Amino acid sequence: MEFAINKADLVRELNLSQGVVEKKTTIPILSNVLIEADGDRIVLTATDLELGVRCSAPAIVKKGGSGTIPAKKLLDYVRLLPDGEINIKFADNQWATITCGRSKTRIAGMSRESFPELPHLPEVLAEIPVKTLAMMISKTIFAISAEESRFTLNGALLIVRADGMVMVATDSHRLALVEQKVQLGNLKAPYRALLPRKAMNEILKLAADAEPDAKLMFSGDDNHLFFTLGQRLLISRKLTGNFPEFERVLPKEHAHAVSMDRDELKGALERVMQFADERSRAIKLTAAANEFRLHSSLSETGESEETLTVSYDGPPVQIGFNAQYIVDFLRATAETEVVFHFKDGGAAGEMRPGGDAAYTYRYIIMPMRI
Amino acid sequence: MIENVFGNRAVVETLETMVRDKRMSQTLLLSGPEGVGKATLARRFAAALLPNTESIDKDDLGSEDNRELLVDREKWTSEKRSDDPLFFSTHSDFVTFPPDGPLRQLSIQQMRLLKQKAQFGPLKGPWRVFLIDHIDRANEQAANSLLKTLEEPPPYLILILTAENAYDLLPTIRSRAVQLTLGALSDAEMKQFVKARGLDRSEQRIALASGCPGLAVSLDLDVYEKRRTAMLALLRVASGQGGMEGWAKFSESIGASKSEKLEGYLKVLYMLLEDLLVLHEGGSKIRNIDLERELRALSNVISFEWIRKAVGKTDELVDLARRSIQKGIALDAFAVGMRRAG
Repeated sequence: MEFAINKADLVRELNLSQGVVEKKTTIPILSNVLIEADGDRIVLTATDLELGVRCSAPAIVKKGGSGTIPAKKLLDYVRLLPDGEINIKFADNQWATITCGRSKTRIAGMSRESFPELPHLPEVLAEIPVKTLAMMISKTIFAISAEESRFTLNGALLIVRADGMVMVATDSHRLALVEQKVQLGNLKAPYRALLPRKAMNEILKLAADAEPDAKLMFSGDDNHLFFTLGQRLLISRKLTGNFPEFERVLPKEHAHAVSMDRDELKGALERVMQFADERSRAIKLTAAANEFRLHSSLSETGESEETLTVSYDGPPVQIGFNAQYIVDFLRATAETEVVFHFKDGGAAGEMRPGGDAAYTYRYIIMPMRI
Repeated sequence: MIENVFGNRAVVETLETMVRDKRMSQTLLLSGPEGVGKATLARRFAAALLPNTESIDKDDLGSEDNRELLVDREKWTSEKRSDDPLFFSTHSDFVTFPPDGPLRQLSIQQMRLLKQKAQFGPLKGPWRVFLIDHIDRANEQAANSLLKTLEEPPPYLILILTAENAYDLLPTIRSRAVQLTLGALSDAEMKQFVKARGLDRSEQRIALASGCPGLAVSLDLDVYEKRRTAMLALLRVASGQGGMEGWAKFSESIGASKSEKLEGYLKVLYMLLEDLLVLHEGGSKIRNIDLERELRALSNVISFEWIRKAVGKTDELVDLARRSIQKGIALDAFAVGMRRAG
C-alpha cells in the first residue's frame, strides 16, 4: 500500500481516533489504527472492542491495500511535520515508511489480520440533528454514575421516537432528563438503548466539528449503536441491563417554586460550598418570605451564608442538598433564569430552566439529611 | 462439533450436547490437573459456539508471545498492573482473564474489568464467552466480587472457570457453577496426542506428563533434567545418603540464579517424591522412567513416614515461596530438617 495525503487531513482524522484507541498495552493491536487505501481515499479505523471509529480522508492512492500502525505514535509524529504532502508506504514486513520533504521515518506496524472486525452498518433508523443530540448529551452526561459497580448507570438511556428523543442519566442521587421534540419521520417503533459514557464523549467530539444543521444517521442492531456523520462512523456496543424506571422517580407536582437568576445562584453556591464538607458537599437551602438562603457550616473551619431575594410567599421550608449537584446543572444550563421546585425537607427537589424552552429539561435531586 | 480435543470424551460430549440442544449452562467450572486441557477445552468449546474463531488459540497462556508478556509484566510495579489489568481477547467475543504478576494471581481489578466487559453484548451471533483461567488464584475479595455475575450472567454470556481442584474454591463459587471434572488421559490417548503434535523424545514426555497433554507439550526437557539432577541430589542428602557436600554445589547455583524460581524446583521435587512413594509401595508406573534404577535404590532406604514428612515440608516451601524466601537457604533447610527426621 502506498498513498500521499495532506498533513492537515491526516491529523484531523487521526485526532478522532485518539479517544478510542486503547492506551493500555495488553492487546497491542488495539493501540493501532487500521489504514485502508482504495480509490481516491484512505479509511482509518480504530477500536477498543467496545467503541469503534471509522473515518476517511482524500488521498492520492498509488497502490491500494491495508496495514496498521500505532495510532498515537503516528499522530505525535505527523503533527510535528511541516504542512504539506506526506507519503506513506507499507512494506510487506508491516513496516511503514513515512516521507515528507526531507524527513523519512519508519514505524513498525502489525498485520491487519489480527485487527478486530467491526460490525456491519445496518439500515438507518433515523436522521438526528447532531447539534441537538450533542445538546442533550451535555445536559445529562454529568449525572452518569462514576461508581464502577453500577454498570447500568454508567451510560445514559436514549429513547428515539418518531416525534422526538429523550435522554436520561442518573447516579441514583440525581437524575437529568432532556426531551426534545423533533420530527424523525419514518421511525416505526420507539428505539431504546443504553449509550455508554465513552460513546457520548465521542459524539460530542463529532458534533464539535459538524455544520450547525448537519444530520447524524442513527441505526442500531441487537448489540450495537451506529452514528454516521458524513464520512465518519462511530460504533458503540450497547450497555445491557435494566435502566431504572425513571418515570416513577419524576415528581408529578411540586407545592412550591422559586425562580432565580442562574449566575447569581451559581456564584452564591460556589462561595457557600467552600465551607461544606468536602465529601458530601452538603449545604442547607431555606426558602422563607421572599428570600432564599444558602447555608453551610464546617465545625472546624467556619461557616458561610448567602441570601438571594426571590418572590416566594409559601411556608418556610428547609432542605439539604449536595451543592455540587446543583452547580453541575447550572453549568449545563444555557438559560439565564432557573426555577427550583420543591415540596418539603424530605422530598426530592427539581431544577428546570426558566422561560419557554423548545425542549424539556428536568433535573431531580434527592435531598440530604443534615 | 468440538474439535481437536484429546481425551475426556464424557466432558466433551456433555458440552456438545449443550451446544446441540441450545441448552447452555452459563457458568461452567472445569477442574482437573495442570495441563490436562481445561483452557484448551474452553477455547474449543467457544470455537464451536462463536463465528470466525480461527485465531482464538492465540490466547493460549502457553504461547510464546503470551508467556513473554507475562514475564514482562512481572517486572511492572503492582500499581501499573492494577491500572492495566491483564486480559487476552484476540476474538472480541472471547475474553480470557489469566493470573498475573510474580505470584500469578487474579486481581480484583481484573474481575472489575470482567464485570464491565460483561455489560456489552456480542459483536456477532448470540454468545460471548469469558474464560477465567485458574479461578483458584483469585483471592477471596476478587472471588466474592464475581458472585453476582456468576449467578446472573447477562443472557448472552457464558463464563468458564478453571481450577486444578474445585474444592480449593469458595463454596459460594462452586455452587453457582456446573462442575465438569477432567481426568488424566490414557496412555493410548497420550500417544495419539504426542504423535499428532510431532513431539520429540515422546516416550519420556508421555511418562513425565502422566496423562496431561499440556504438560507434555510445554515441558522443556533439558531444563527439567537439570532441575531433576539437583532435586535428586537433595533427596539423597536428605535421606542421609552421603554428606551435605553432595548438595552444596547445587544449593549454591540455585541460590545464585536470579531468573529461576523456587516453584519450578518444587514441582520437580513433588514428582520425584510421587515416584518414590509408588516404588516404595511396590508399584512400577512411575514418571521418571529413565531414573528408575536410582529411584528404586533410594526408595529402599527410606520409610513411608519419611516420604510423608518430605511432602509436608515441600508443601511448606510452596507456601513460603509466595513470600519470596531465599531459594538456596530454603532447600538447605529442607535437607537438614529431613536428615534430622530420618
